[in-house]
Amino acid sequence: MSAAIACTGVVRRLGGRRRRVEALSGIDLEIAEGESVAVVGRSGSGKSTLVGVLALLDRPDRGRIAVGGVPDAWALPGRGLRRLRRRVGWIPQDALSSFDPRFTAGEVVAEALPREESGRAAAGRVAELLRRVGLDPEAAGRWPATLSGGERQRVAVARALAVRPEVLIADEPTTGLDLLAQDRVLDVLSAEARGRTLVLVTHDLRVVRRMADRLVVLDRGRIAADVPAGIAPDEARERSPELARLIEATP
Amino acid sequence: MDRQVIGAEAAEAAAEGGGAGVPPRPGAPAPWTARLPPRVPGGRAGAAVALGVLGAMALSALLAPVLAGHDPVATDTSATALPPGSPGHPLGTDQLGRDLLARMLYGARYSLAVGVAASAATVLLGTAVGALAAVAPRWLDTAVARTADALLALPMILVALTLAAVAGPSPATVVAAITVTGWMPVALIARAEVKALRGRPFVRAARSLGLTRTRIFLRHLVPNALPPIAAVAAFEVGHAVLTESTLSFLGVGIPPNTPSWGNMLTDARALLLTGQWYTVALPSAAIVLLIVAVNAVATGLERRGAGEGRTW
Amino acid sequence: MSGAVLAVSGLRVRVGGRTVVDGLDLVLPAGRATALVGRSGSGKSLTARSLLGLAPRGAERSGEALLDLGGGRTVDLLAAPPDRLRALRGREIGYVFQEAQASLNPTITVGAHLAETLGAHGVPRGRRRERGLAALRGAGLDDPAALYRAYPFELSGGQAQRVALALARALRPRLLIADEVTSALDPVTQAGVLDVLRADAAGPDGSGRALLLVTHDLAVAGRWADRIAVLDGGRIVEEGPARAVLAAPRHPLTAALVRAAGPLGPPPDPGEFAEAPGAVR
Repeated sequence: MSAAIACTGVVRRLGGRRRRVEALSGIDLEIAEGESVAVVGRSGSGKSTLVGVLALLDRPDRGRIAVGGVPDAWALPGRGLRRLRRRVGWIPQDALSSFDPRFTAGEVVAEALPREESGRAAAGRVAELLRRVGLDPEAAGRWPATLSGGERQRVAVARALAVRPEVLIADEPTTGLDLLAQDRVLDVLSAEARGRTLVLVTHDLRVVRRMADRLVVLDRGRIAADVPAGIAPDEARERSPELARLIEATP
Repeated sequence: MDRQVIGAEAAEAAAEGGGAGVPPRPGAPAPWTARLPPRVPGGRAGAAVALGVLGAMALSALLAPVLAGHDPVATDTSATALPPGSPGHPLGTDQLGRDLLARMLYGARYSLAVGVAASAATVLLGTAVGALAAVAPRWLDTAVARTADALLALPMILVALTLAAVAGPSPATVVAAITVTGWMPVALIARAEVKALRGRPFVRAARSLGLTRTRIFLRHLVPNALPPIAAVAAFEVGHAVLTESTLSFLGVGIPPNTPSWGNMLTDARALLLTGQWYTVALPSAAIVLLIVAVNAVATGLERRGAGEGRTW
Repeated sequence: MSGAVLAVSGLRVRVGGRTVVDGLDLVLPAGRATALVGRSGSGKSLTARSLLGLAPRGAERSGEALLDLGGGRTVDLLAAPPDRLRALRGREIGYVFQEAQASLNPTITVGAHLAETLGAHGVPRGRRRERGLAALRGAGLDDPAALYRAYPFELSGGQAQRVALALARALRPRLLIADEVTSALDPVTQAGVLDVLRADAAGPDGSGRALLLVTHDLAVAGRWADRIAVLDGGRIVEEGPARAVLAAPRHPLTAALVRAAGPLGPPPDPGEFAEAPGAVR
């Protein structure tokens, strides 16, 4: 059974010529189809860098990314790589800055639709996607800046769903939202994760408990632990001091 | 201590995502901070008035044959140096008896046409070169940037005179001279804007959707780079009009008898402190008004770009 | 005032023609941490900032907010003129908020910030560095000497937050207001910062300090606060000891927040926070 998405020996360095830092130092991670994996770690652990690599946006300095049946995504020619990107739905951390400032919410989602679904059919699809994430289709005509944080986040989810991805990668989808908005976003993600593979980056263990089967802990660019999400706190503490720290800190 | 005030405002701006300048749609339950007044005091109203002024100028230029009443090049030795308000000559006449109203209206045609054409050509060329350089391979980008820097040192007058020697003096020569010496600043700004935009999250999001680089360039990079370029473009119009007068004075532009606001100034420059000061004041006022109006529109455009979620 | 550091009654704040805070009453007792909980946009931050005179331009405030200055003297924060408020901020009231980096002047070092704050409130030049280093240490930063020389851009998010915390606590104010300090941080840093704040309210050095924790996260409130006040529709709709509010919420919003906060353990004993917090990397 091939993995839905996998990293082998991935290294990625950040920073300019003088201050090169290894954000990811040799990541080996295999995620099977249908799994819901949470990636946790504190700021600077490499979570966001990992997202960029998994979403096929940033090329690793070393190592390979495999998606679906394709063993090395970056070995593909431009066209193939672009098509592969559409098999991964990326939900960025800050929804608003990921929208073109000139677009309405509807235009943001519509842009993600395949070329075949344009014109009148597009409006229908956009409305359907917005409904799926719990938004009123009327929201399509609104400017994202006038929507609440939670609503914007859900527009970003709708956009990711529009490409009909096999894998969903959500980068800290609940950060910056109040609890009730978080609730709604997680409800949507739960529903959409059924039948798909979900990679969820978060620093909140409560989100992990609710959403994931499996928990991967990143610490300074390496995987410090890879355990089932339902693991007992005592056993978790033994497996990884970083995880223990996170458990302590979670209210 | 008042750093806290700045910080508090930054926190608020961060929380609201910088949307203060965008008008909410009716019926939308916007967060209460969206109701704070937008940060464009008088900007939009000023730009609207300016647009009206420009429209009036363009209209009178178009209708010059109808509105003029006199031939702008016809001299009349019996009616020289008449002040404004004289019968038959509402704006007076110049040293050679040519009606100033007619000269102003026909002058408008020339100055506006050259100003608009030259700045349009400059901006189009500059934007295309700058934007493409920003997405080009590094060696090409550096080559273009260094060339633009070097050309900035070219004195415009020498280029214009050279062109005139080669192609003969004409309005086209003026436009060409202005374009050749003016595209560089526009290109450098366009290049800087597009480079900055490439790193923005919404461009990354477009990539994640599998869009081609061309599509991203045309749909996201160029349109979002336009507001600051539009501002420069507007300033270019004023610059072009002023440059035209210099070139006309040097004999590179239109023949001296045909009026343009620029060469009317040249003709009358000695008369500033005399009884015929109006022969200088009229074209100067017109040029100043044009430049101010164009700048007001440009500022309005720039502020609008700033309101749409572009945060510092 | 009997043990209350701040007594707010009838606070009303109008912004842009809308009444956001509509008759808010709140008492902040000495030696206790009170959490002000509400949804985004409910006016919690606006409340905090209005008390400090940091409300946005054009905001109209009314009501009374009596701050106890000790020795029987009080001052009404809502009636005090701007320079009085400026003098109170830092000395009597410490304020930490979410965007820590934005509160720091990027052109001066951390040490200069501390010296400026201390100097503005009468600490003699000779003692400023020593007090500044102590403040940094107290905020949970190890190697304060190195950080003293650092510029804000050299700090990580967690360090910047702790520097802001040090600045707020430097003069040992009676009231500390923490406005959504944790939303932008990872849980480990978040816990560290909150532990320091909580210890202030409870510990012997604090003696009589009050802490106001503004947050949307009921679980954070449950763990670090003694009392919880829920804000909805511009006023307090439920208030009580943290344990009681979480165990038996009465208002529907509180109930919804409790559900959304997920499985909550029993809030730990206040005594647990008396020791110094862990160091920051």
